[in-house]
Amino acid sequence: MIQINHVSKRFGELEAIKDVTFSVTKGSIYGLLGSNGAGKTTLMKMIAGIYKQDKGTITIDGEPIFENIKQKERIIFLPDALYFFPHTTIRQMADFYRHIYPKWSEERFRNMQELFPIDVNKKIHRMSKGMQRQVAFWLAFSTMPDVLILDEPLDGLDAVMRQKVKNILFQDVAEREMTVVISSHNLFEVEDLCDRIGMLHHGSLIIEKELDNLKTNIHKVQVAFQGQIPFSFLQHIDVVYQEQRGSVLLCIVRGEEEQIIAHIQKHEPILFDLLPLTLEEIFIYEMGEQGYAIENILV
Amino acid sequence: MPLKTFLFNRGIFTQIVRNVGWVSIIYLVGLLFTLPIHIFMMSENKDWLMHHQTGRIFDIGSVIQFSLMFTLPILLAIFLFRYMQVKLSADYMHSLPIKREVLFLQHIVVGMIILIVPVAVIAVCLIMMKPFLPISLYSFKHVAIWFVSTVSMNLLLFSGAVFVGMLTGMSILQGMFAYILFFFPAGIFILLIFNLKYFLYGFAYEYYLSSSLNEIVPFIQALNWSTKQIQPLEILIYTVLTFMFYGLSVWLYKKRHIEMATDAIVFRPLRPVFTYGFTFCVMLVGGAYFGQMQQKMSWVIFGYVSSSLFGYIIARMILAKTWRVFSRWKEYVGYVVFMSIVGLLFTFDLFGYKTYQPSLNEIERAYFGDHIYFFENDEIDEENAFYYEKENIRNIYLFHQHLIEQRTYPVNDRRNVVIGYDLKNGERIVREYTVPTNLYNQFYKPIFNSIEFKKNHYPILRKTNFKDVLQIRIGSEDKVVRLQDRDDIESFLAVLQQQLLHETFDETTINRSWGTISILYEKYEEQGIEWRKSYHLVEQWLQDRGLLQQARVTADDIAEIKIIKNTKQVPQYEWTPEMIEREKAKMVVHDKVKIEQCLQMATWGEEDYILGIYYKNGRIDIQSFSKHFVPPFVH
Repeated sequence: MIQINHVSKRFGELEAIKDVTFSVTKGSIYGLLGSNGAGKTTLMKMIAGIYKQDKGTITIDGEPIFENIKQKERIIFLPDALYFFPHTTIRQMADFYRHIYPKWSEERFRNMQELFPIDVNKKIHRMSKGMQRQVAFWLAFSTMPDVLILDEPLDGLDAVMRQKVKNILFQDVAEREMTVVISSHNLFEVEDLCDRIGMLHHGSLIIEKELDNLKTNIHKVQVAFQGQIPFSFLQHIDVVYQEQRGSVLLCIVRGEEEQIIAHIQKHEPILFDLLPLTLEEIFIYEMGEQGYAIENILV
Repeated sequence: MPLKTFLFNRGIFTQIVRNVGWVSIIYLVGLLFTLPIHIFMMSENKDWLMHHQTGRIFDIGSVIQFSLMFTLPILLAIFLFRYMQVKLSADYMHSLPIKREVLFLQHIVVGMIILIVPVAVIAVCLIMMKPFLPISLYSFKHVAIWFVSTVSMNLLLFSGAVFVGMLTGMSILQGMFAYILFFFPAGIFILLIFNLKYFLYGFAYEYYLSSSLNEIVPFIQALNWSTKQIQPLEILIYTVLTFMFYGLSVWLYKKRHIEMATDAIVFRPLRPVFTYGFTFCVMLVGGAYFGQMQQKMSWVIFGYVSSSLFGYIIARMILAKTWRVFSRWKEYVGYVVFMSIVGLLFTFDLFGYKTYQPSLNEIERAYFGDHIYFFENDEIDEENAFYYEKENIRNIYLFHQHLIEQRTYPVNDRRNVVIGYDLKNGERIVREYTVPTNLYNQFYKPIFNSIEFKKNHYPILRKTNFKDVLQIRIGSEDKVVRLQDRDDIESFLAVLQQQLLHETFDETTINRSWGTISILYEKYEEQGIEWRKSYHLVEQWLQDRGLLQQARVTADDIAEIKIIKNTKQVPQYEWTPEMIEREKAKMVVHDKVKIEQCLQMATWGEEDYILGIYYKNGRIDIQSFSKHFVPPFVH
């Protein structure tokens, strides 16, 4: 369980993180969304115990993470820009990790060779960006981490490799109750991954929700009526957004599915569809309500 | 086992060695070629062996030895802690489950091993090859001292460079700061003293610029190791400093924010210290430079303003890592205002430094001379410049008082006056002034005419017997008389003592001399005394023994003398024999008595009369008369 409590961080004049509070439960995947410069990386580096927060507390299983070796042994942080020691091979890096991380599994490292078809004696610096990212995942998974912090992790991986990595992630979360924090500026990338999502904007957490909750509570409705739209139709439901396309009314409605269906049926529409929303659409409407324009937040 | 895992991590260790192990190899190869291989190579050369026989290992290949010693430890510190200065590696290394202390300790330990091992290997080589050398070039002890000296200096420089690395986030600045760290204490002191000179009239800056300043610069200290062996205290100081630097480094490292990599100064509170410290130092350099070159207060001020502005801009550029820093000028104005106030404090002498004189009866002894040297070295028996007699102390005191009350600026002819007091309470006061040459003669006179001054000035006057005198040489140009007979020596020195005791201040201001009298003592020490033309007792003594002809030029050597009134005041050194010949209005002297009178008055460097002295042997010498001292027949 990762607990982030009223955390703030300044870089000189710039207030990078402003009073952020949230928690990640054990064995779940948390998605941290936000545009470039929103503070995702800073927040993650604080969770990984690299940066020290100016205010607030960050604990993992109740212990502060900063300079806490016992906890750091269980955490792997994969930054968006990867670092390897100069002129090392995968084998040498693996040996290094073996001495650093006590839970390192040589067996897993060997087994994963099948998933990552790269020669272990090749120098990492000579590899392509995508291959380097594969090596990073390979090494990270082999340390059997309890907490995995991934900053824009899927950039540069091809679709097949993406799926492989996602599968291992799911497997570790399911089997070993691994906790994952994953950041992205791309909703689609994490839509099928995350249990819970937080959105950072200018250092503040503006939305923080259970993904299932988010999806079940909001619906897209298409209705058409004979003649005018009945006056009382829009009055007893929570309409977030509406738009008239010819005689068809399109609206985003918040609420329980059955209640909404019952309400609409009462007005006897000639056309009625209840559609699920994509994550992006949900965000557009949720944030529109809070006064943010989505284009400025997600690229 | 737990302790082992806590302090030592094999993964990290391997990584560090892989990263910086090459430094050790370079050092080993460098030393191998400078010492063992070089010694074997030269062991066939007898002269070389004799020259290096004294066991001064630092003398062998010293350029390479010291170059390696002064650069490798600092380079190593930069490479070892490079991981902190690059954002990616800084993030990576600090995401690992290793405490910063442990990370630091491992880097330090590997660094020390890398620096010590090559020196140790070479030391062992030197000892093992010793039996194979044709002569005993060094002893076991010499090698041990060489090892300890080299290692202690290496570790000191290394720890200093590590320490400054914690303060900065840029490797290049780490290197620069490391050298600054070791030069700074002496450098800032010298700069301050050079600058105080312009503000404090009478400030005896030379007194503070003593050679002991060198001792706080480890580089200079090390360069002297070939002649001056390292002292146990020195080793102790280096060791203490090394551990202090390590301690400070760990402390800073734990406080350091990892995200500060690539910033010039990592700790924010230190940034103003850096900016204004840098500005201040550059300002002092500028002030001292223009002051030394131009010797004028207006130039000093120009130096301060221009160089402090320059320094401020550079410091800002380093901090901001851009050259567009010109918008932040308000702080500079603040600095200028502050510095002006400090400058005014000194100019108006709020501390009373310039006018301070102790009360006369507090003074135990007074110092009076034209340089500072004997103030600190009063045990040297050549010359003494301390006065104990009440009358002299009073005269020096009055002179000092006059200098304080009436400041005069020398133009061309200047002389130094150093006045100092040792007080009865043990306090020392010293002042140094530059004054016009002739303005203060009335103050010099009573002091110079005192017996105490003469005894101080002429060591021969302090002697009661002359047993240790081996020989006396009295001579000028190509003539010389040597006195070796004991009776001659005794009798001549007695006369010389009388002569010197009666010498007056006026005599010393006139630059007319025949040559020098030098007294050679046992142990081949030699003392020289100017043989002034006014020393009649000496002249008489030589005349009585018929030695005058051998000691100096006389009328018998001269064919004729031509005297020209130098109306155009052409300097004497510009005159040539041809010019004398061309001159129509000249007086030619053939009479021996008159020639002797001319020789007695002739001097160099005057411009009123020019003399062409024509020797019988064909030589021509050009000298001069001052209008105050001319033979009676010249007008």
